[in-house]
Amino acid sequence: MEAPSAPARLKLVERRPAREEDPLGAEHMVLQMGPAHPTMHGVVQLTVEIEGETIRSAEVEIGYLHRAFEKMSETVTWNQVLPYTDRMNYISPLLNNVGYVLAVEKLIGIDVPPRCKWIRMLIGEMSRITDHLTCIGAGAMELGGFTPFLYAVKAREYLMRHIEKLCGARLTTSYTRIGGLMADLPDGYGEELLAILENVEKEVVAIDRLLTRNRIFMDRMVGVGTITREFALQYGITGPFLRSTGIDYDVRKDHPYLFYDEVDFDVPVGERGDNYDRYLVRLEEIRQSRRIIEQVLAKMEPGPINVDDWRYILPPKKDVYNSIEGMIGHFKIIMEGIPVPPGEAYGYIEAANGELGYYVVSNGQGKPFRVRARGPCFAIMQGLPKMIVGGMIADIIPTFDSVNMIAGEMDR
Amino acid sequence: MPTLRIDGQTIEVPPGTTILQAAKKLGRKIPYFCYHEKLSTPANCRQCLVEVAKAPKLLPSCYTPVADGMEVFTASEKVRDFQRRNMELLLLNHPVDCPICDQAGECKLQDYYKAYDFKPSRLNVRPVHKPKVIRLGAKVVLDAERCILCTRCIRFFEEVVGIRPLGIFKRGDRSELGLYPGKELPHGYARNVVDVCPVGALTSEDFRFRKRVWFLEKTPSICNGCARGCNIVVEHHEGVVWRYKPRLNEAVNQVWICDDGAYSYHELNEGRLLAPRVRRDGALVEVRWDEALAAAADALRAADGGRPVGIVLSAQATCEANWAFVRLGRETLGDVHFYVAGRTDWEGDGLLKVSDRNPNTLGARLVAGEGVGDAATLLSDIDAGRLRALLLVGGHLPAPAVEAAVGRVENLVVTSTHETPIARRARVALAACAFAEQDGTFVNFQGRVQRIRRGPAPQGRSGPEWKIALRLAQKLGRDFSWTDASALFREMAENVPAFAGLAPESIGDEGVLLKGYTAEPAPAGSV
Amino acid sequence: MSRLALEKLQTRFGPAVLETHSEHGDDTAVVDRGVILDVVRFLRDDPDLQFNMLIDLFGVDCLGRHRDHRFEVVYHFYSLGQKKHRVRIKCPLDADDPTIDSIVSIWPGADWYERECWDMFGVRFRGHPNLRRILMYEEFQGHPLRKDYPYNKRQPLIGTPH
Repeated sequence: MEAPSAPARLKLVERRPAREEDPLGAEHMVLQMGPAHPTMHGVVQLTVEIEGETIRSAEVEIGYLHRAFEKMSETVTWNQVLPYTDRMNYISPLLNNVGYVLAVEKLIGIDVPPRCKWIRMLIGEMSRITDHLTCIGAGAMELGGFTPFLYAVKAREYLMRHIEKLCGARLTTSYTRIGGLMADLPDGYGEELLAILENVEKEVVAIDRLLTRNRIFMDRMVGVGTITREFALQYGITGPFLRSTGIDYDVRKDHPYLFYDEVDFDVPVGERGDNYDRYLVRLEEIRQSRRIIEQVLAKMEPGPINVDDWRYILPPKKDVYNSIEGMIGHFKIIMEGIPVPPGEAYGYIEAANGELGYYVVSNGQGKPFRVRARGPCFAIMQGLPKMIVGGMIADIIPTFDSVNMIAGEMDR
Repeated sequence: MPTLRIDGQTIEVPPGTTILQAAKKLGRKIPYFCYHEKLSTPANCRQCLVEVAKAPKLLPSCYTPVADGMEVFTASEKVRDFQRRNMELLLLNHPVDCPICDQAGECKLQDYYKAYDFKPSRLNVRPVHKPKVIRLGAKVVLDAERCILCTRCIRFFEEVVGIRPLGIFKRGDRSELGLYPGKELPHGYARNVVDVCPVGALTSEDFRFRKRVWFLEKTPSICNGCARGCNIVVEHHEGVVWRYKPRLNEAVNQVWICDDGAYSYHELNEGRLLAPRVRRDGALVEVRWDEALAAAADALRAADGGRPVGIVLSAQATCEANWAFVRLGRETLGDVHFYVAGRTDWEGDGLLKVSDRNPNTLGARLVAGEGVGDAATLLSDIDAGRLRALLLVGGHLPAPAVEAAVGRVENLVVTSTHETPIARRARVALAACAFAEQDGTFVNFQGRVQRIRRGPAPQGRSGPEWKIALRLAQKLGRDFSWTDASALFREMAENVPAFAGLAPESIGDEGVLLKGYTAEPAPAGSV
Repeated sequence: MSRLALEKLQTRFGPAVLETHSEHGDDTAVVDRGVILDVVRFLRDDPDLQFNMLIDLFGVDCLGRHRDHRFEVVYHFYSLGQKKHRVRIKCPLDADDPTIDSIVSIWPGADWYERECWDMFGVRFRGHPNLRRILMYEEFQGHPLRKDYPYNKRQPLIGTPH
């Protein structure tokens, strides 16, 4: 039979907040920033009500990058969720890969070989550096400092190329697997990485010299976007944002996963909880990540990278093409997915912007029953209006930059 | 009654039950290849061996009857180890061909390998090669290399069909399945061996290389090939039906289906009437539903000397559809004569296939009530010029003579799933969707009501017949409140004596016998 | 993690704590929705527990998972003091009345999470100041993460596939 006729034109909903009348008759103005705005990285809409240059109220509208990650995860096998995870965070995708597999491995109860753990730490820290460089560079650029941005992107590019060497992609990495990794590190990867980090350090020093004691930069950053510890806790804010208020919560230290308890590193904290402290925390974390990478490379030993269990890891191609056992193993993992016992688990790691958690539920099938991603930006963006209200309109930019919003992770 | 313990759970079963059956009752999974609940048990695959306390070695659970006080372990270390070693041996000579094997995705070798082994083989010997692509007849193809020699197919022919075309030849690891010289599989029930085969050794030429099984959606339904109404699963993907598989119903078809029925799914994909048509200037043209229904209403209303309208109910359509047209006729057209017609009979085989080729002859008659005519009275009524208009449901007529007579009726409205000859001669042809594309019920020749369910979406712009009746009634000035087939069924239960007391929910997977009908014993032979 | 929290919850709320478990080391208490506000406040204020961070709040649709209830609302709490422990609270909800008290009055940060849960599952949070969609647009019909919402369903504003 015929399809029903098209529905009547949908009613547009009035979403603007009620305008508050000024006793002197001066009108407040409502200003839209985004969803496509030169200083808005990622698509998000800020509706601010201003009185002169002062922000009286603000509202954040998210969802522009909602791509149904959680729904799509329920339609593919456990391993096929991985490409979605790196598309959720286009600045540090490797960290998202690691976070997801750790959650699923927790649910299955498998322990990956030591080399695999070291490599996961290594790639995680590389990603953390690229993430912080992006945040600092873009933040400086939007305050008029184009040179630090170029330095940051140059340094990031060294690492991106190295990541490309690892897995063939700069952003769409999908490098981890449940129970292991896509492949071992290429030959000489560690030595090259050390040389690269040396170069990255040079750029970081240059950025440091250009920005940290820069009068203009400090004027825009110090005392702007300040949050208190209580506020951070109330809103569930984690990562550099939380640490800028002086709380030294870092998942790597407080709930060590992989081998983070075997390496030596410091957790930098701020005092005031303002944009400047967040900048300093990120800058220091770049250096700490380098420390971790150096220790990882020193401690890492050759060995297997995958668990020795055909139920989770694809059989070697030699077996797939030459033995029926390998063929069936391959077939079953690809077509039906790996067997994950019924149950639920929450795996969490310290991503570049805070705690990244995955809550996975299995009903014993080859496909996830539910995958929930807890991105750190969601909580921070929720608190953003409180940070900018009462300030000047120009201060939105550095504050919003310091959130380092990853819309993919927030909207999923 | 012997009481035994299986993996710590106690169960009491009738004497003569095997360990495997008892374990199944408890929900314990024991793997097996050669055992089949409708065939004899040779216990030759050895996959179902279990540990029994005090027994010196592992026992085949499919063959060992339970004894009082028995203590069975189905998943002990010893059993798991044996299952794994057995899988290794079964896979020893298996070709590496899952990507081109039709069984892949529903293969017991794959399933059990994943569940009970999932390790690389420890054996490293040259595989024995055997013949491949042997056409056994009746569209069944054998790949002897994939065969695990479980003999299910041999037993099927011997015990169910009663012939011996297949046997195991040669000795030892060179043993292979094959046809006896000069024999081939006869058309009739041969396709069942494809379902019976636990691996990819026997495949159907009709399905081979056409569709991967994991894409198929499965909808339980009833075969519309003949009046037996064998229980089937319609397997379809993206609106196309790819095969029927038989479904267990002890009272109707056990687990078998005849070849003609199983291959009748082709009809769903060929020659369909996809849109309503109206005759304009001598030719049928596709129009919108609104226009077609208005034209149909005009044709049926054509006033002409007080002669009645004839409505031919369809033995191919569901009870609900027929009921909808019965009400339509009674409440909008006034003087109506009802007839029931369907397809031409074929020859029954005394096993499953019966001579009546329509799935719902009995249902249509019951719904129409007393005084319903058949094809013969229809012919005489037309010849005598007693009808001013004719509404033919289903688009099928049993004989060329009737077809010719019906074709002469000027005001002929036909609802049809296919472009049948009579649909081409109608004034208005309304596109109905096939049985697999709608919900409803059929009543088989034994008097058993069985449900069909909507699988693929209706093809083209076709729709279920009851919906056509609903909208045609609107054009004729009567609004019925039917929302779906279940609502119609409830209405039938109130108005048709044979259906009294039934509800769509109360018809389970096995169907329900109508009042006044007794369950026939399973048909002759052992099918 | 926090067996202590589970024990204290059981002592304090008795039968309203329907079930506790610690699968994979995640301490979980399933509580009746009637006491959720008290439970959340208790977790925050009890001097031994001090769960001072709401880490996450989301829904799960259990359709097809053989549970008595249809939905679960899951809360993850974290204590950032000396304890550094975590606890998960789950509230089962029935299909015909997926309603639960909003905890925004206790945790302002729950605002967006509850909006998302409403948006995705249609769980209503009683007392929420601004319960409207957050990720989907206002005109969207249905709740996409429900199991009975087909993943490939199209809606007018999304457009039809080619």
